[in-house]
Amino acid sequence: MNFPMQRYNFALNCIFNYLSHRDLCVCSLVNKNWCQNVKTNIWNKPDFITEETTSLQAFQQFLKVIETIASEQTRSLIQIIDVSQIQESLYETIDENWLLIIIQRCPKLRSLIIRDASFLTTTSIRKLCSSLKQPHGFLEHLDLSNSKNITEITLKSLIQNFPELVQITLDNCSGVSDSSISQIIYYCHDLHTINIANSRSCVTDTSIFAIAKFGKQKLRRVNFQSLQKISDNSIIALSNYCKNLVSINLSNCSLITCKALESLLTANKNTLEELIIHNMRSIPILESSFIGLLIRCLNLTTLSISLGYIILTSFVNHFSLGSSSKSPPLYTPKFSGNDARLILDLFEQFQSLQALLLHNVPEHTSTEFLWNLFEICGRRGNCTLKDVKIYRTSYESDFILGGYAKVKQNEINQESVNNFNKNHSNGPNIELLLLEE
Amino acid sequence: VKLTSSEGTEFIIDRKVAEKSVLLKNMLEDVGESDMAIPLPNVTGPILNKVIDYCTHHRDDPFVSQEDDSKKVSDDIDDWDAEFCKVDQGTLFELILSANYLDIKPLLDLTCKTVANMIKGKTPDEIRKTFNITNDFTPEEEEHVRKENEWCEER
Repeated sequence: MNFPMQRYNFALNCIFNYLSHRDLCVCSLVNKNWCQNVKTNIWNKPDFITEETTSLQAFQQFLKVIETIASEQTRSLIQIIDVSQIQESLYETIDENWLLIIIQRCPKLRSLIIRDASFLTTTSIRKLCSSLKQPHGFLEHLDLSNSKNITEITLKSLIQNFPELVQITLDNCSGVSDSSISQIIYYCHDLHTINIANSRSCVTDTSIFAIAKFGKQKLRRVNFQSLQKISDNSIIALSNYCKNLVSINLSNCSLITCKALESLLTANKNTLEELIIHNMRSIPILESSFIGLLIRCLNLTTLSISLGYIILTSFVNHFSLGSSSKSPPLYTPKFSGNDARLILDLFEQFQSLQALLLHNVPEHTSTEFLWNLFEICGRRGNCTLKDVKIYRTSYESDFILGGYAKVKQNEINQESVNNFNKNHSNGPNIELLLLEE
Repeated sequence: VKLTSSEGTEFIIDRKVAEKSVLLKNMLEDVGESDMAIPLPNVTGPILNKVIDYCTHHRDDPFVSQEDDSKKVSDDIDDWDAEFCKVDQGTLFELILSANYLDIKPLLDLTCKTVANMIKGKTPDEIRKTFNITNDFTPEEEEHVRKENEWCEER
């Protein structure tokens, strides 16, 4: 075949995607060119999920190969290592040198994912720190989510090896504390994405102050989900220092009020794309002025809020009055029909909203109103919603169906959602998710 | 819809047939109805002919957007498709490149699977024979490659 080499190799790589590892290994023995193409395919992101051996065995063999056999050229192909699928068994454990081997022998590693790994132990980190002569200059992304065996001190010394980190994920990681976070944000001066969600009581305003101060303009994405001790003070500091945030997650933060959110939005209105602010206990209702601020975030594509913020049952009842008026409002009326109009008007003005996630949708929320909202959303801003997710818990009416109580027609259930999707094949696609309380 | 291949041959096809290609579909959506021919400098006439054959045969297939690429089964090729792929390897490779360029996922799947089936279960020697490739490894190099890649080989 007389093909230009580049085109030939491109086609070859397309084909290799359809082959098993076993066949790929055979292909690597065909000639040098094939070998090169196979190598880029299997070494770029080593895949430890094989059919017959366990991923643990595959990983151990991989470690042995990169330690002894693999040429530097081969090892330089490795960019992503993900060990989150690997589990130690009762009889087989992983050599405590594993972390050292990976860091030492993969000079071009960019991303290391150690989610849920029980073998990330103090010893493995200590071995790395004591033997590594110079910091790893390539690693950009480190994910230590759900690491339970790591302490504040080991986390600090681990990070010392990776000065070039730009993205760190420490969701529910046991080493997270005010002191370790402050040190990380100070040491990794190019960090733009930081996730310290679910760190429970270990993270206070001190961490956020440090993140704000050292993160400054280069900070892009922050995830502070479920941090119960952070308050308005630090969030306002964040909005003073960081004005290029693209993604903010403050869901389940119970102390933060609308005041801090407003200043954060004002500071980042030109860059913000994703805002996750559901279940914030100190924000009972979103004022229309706040929604006005949201509209001014011209690049906002994803918004996750609690429905309770914007609509209360009583106001929704106003909407359904026409169809049924038998059930008395459960909450004191706070909205009138004009308010409903106002909210629809506001939602109509979103400029780039594509995904809307609604949490805590209360029982008896009028579907009529919601469907209206989804249809109208972004219409004047020239964009249309693509995805809607509705999270609801079990409703009383779910259990009395068919009983003596008459169930209202326009309740949110799978049937009404299916109907909507059927009638709006081009419009937003709604997904209904049930949550356990 | 009018298309021009790399050597300038013009093809006139149904819009529905053309829309099997995501590239053309997007183009047509952007441009709207127009008499202008769409130039395809990366595709030769004979290959474009084959591609059109394929799209015409499959014009009424439902559009599969994003199927999961996790496990690729390569034995679900129907008779028409198998017949369609009975061409020389050069053409097959050209078809892969064009399917990729025109963004016709099912055709890319089909052609890649066909070649993958020619490779499956064979020894390196058999593969060399099939694709007319000469071995440029020294025995030592070959052994080294074998050892390097051993970890991901399922035994």
